[in-house]
Amino acid sequence: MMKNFRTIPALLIMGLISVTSCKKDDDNNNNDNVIPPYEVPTTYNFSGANYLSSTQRVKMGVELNSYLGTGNNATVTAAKANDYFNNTNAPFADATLNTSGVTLAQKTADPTVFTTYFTQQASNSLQNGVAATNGTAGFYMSGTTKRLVGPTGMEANQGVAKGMMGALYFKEAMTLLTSVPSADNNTVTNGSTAMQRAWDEAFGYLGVPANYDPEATYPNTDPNRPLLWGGYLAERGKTIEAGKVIFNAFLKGRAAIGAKDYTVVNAQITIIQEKWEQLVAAAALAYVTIPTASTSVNDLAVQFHALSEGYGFLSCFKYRPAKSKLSAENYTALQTIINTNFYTLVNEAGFAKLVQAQTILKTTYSLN
Amino acid sequence: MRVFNRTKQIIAIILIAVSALVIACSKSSNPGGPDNNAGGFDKTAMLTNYADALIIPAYTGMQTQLNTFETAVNVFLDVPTTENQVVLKAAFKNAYLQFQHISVDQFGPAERVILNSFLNSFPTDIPAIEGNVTRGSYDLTMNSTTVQQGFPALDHLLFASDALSKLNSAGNANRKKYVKDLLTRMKTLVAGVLSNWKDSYRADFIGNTRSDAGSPIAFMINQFAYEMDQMKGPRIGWPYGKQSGGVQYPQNVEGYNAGISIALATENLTNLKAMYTGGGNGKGMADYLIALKKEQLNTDVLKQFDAAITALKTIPDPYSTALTANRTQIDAAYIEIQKLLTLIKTDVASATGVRITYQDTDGD
Repeated sequence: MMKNFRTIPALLIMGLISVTSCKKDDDNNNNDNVIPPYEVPTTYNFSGANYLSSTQRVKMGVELNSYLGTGNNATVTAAKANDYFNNTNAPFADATLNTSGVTLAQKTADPTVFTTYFTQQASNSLQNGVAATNGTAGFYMSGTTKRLVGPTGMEANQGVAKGMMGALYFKEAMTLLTSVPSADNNTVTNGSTAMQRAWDEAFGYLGVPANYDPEATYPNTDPNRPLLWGGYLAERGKTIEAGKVIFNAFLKGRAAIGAKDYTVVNAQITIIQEKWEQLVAAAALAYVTIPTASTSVNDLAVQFHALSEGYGFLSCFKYRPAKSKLSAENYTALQTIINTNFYTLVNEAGFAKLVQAQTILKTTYSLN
Repeated sequence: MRVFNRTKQIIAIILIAVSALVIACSKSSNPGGPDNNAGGFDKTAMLTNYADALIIPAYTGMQTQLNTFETAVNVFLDVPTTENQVVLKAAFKNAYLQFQHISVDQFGPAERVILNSFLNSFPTDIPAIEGNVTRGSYDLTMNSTTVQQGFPALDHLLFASDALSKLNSAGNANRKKYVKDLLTRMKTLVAGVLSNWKDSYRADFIGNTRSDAGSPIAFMINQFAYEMDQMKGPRIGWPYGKQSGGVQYPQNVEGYNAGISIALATENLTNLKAMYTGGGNGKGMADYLIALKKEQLNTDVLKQFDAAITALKTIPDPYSTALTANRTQIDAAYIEIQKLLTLIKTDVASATGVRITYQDTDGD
C-alpha cells in the first residue's frame, strides 16, 4: 500500500514536466548550439537589472501630467511645464527626480509638439471659468467632472499625457528592443551587458513593478501601482491580455539573454512589439468609440475627453516599429480623422469619420 | 490481484493527469464565458427567441404604429381641431408606448444609428425647434439635433398648450412641414434598423453565445441595467428632484404635453420584465439564471419587477402634477425601482458574468 503513495508524487512530477513541455513551442527551433537549461522567473528581479532612468522618466511624466491637469481650476504656465520637461528649477515633488540628471526632453521625439501643448494648456487655463464653445477655449461639465478644452474641443493636457506615452515611452521601448539583437552580450559592466541594459531600459518604460501581477487591481494609493502604459495594460488591454503577454515576454526574453538563447530573445521582441502596438490600437479604438455611443451623445465633456485621449493614442502610431501592420495610408487616414475639429467629429451624421477610424483599427489589429 | 489493482490505479492517475494536461493546453484562448451548452442550457435557442419573438417583432410593431400615427397626423394637420387632436393623441400614445418596447434594444443596428437618442431625447429643445420652424431649414441627421426631433419634439409641436393656435395661424406651412419631416425621419430610422436586423445582424446575434464585452448577452444585460438607470433618473427620479436637492422639473418628464409619463414608464418596465423572462414561451435570461443555479436570485428579480410595476401604477398621470400631489406614491415607487436596479445591475450582471460597461468611468 505504501508503495502506491510513493508513485503519486512521481506521477505528479511527470505531469509537471509535460505541462511545461506544452509551452515551449518556440524553444524547439533546431539550434545546433546546445543551450543549457535556464529558468524564467516570475518577477523582474534579475541580478544586475537596472532601469532606474526609465522609471524616473515615467515618474516625471506622471508629475508633469498632474501639473497640467491643475489647469482645470488654476492657471498653469508654459514656463513651469517646461521645467518639468527639462528638469530645471527643481519642479518635482519627488526630490530624487530633481537631482537624477535625467529629463523627459532627452528622449522625447518631436519636442515642439509638446512645448506647443504646454502653451495651449496655459492659455486654456485662463479660460477655465468660461463655458467652452466651438472656436473658443473653456470648460464642459459631465456630472461633477470638469473638462478644460481648447478652441477645437481638444484637451491639451491629454495631448501631452497620451502623446508622450507614444513619443517617449513607446518609441524608446520599440527602439531599444529593435537594437537588442545587435547589442553586445559578452562584456559585463556594472553587473550587466549592453544587451541586458537595453532590455531592462525598455522594460522600465512599461511602468510596472518588478513583481507585477496582471490579474491584480492596484488601488490609486498603492505606491507600487503600474503607471502610464502600466495602467493601460489593465484599463484598455484586458481583453487582449496585454499585461500578461507583455510582462511574461519581458521575463522570458531577459532570462533568454542570460542564457544566450537568441531564438527565444527574438521571439519575445516580436511578441512585445506586436502586443504593445495592439494595446495602442485597443486604447485608441476605445476612445474613438466612446464618443459614438448613444450613452455619450451630446455629452461634450465625455465625448471630447475621449477624443483627446484618442488623439494622443493615435499619435503613438508615428513611432510604431518597422514591422507594424498599420500601412502608411491608414496611418495618414487616422491622423486626418483625429485632426478634424472635435465639434465636427461628434456632430457628423452617422459619425462617419470616427466609424472609419474604428474600422481601420479593428481590421488592422484584429480587435472587436 | 493486488498488483493488477495497482496498475489500474496508476493507469487511472495517468489518464487524469493527461486529461488535465490536455485541458490546460487547450484553454489558451477562450476568455469570455462559459460554453454554449454549459449546464445543458441552449444559449443559441435563447438568443433566437430574443431575436424572433421579442426584438424583431418590437421593431415591426414600431413601424406599424408609426404608420397608423402618420395617418392621424395627416388628418390633424389638414384640419387642426380639438377633436382631431384627441384622436391624434391616442395614436401618439400608442406609438410612444410601442417605443418602450424597442428602447431596451439599443445595441447593434440601433446603436449604430443612435436610434434612442434620435427618437426619444427628452426634455426636447423648444427654442431650437422653434428656430428650425421659423427658418424652415435644418439637417436632422446631425447628432446635435437629437433634441430637436423624435417623440419629445412631436409632443411639443402637436400637444403643447399653444399647439393648436400655432398650427392654425398664418404662416403655419413650415410648422406642418417640420412635423412631417420628423415623422419621415423616425420612419426611416426604424426601417433601417429593422432591415439591418433581418438582413445580417440577426445571424450575428444568435451566433454569438459569449458573454464578454460586445456580445449579445452582455449587450442585453447592460441594456437592462441602463433602462433601470433611466427609470430611476430621467423618467422618475430627476423630474421629482432626486438629483437637484428636491427642486422639481415637471416640464422635463417623458411625454410632458400628452401627460402620459407614468403610462410610458409602466410600459417600459413591463416590457423589461418580458425581456428578462424571454416573453411568453421561449427561453430568456430568467431561464439562463436558473441553469446557472441562481434560482433564488431569479425569484427575487421577478418579485421585484412586480413590486416596482405595482408601485409605479399607483402614481397617476400626468406625472408633472403628481410630482407635488403624490409624493408618498412616488417615494415608494422610487425605492422599488432602486431595488430592482441593484438586483439587475449588480446581481444579475455578476451571475451571468457580464461586465457593466456603459458607465465606463475614466479616471484621468
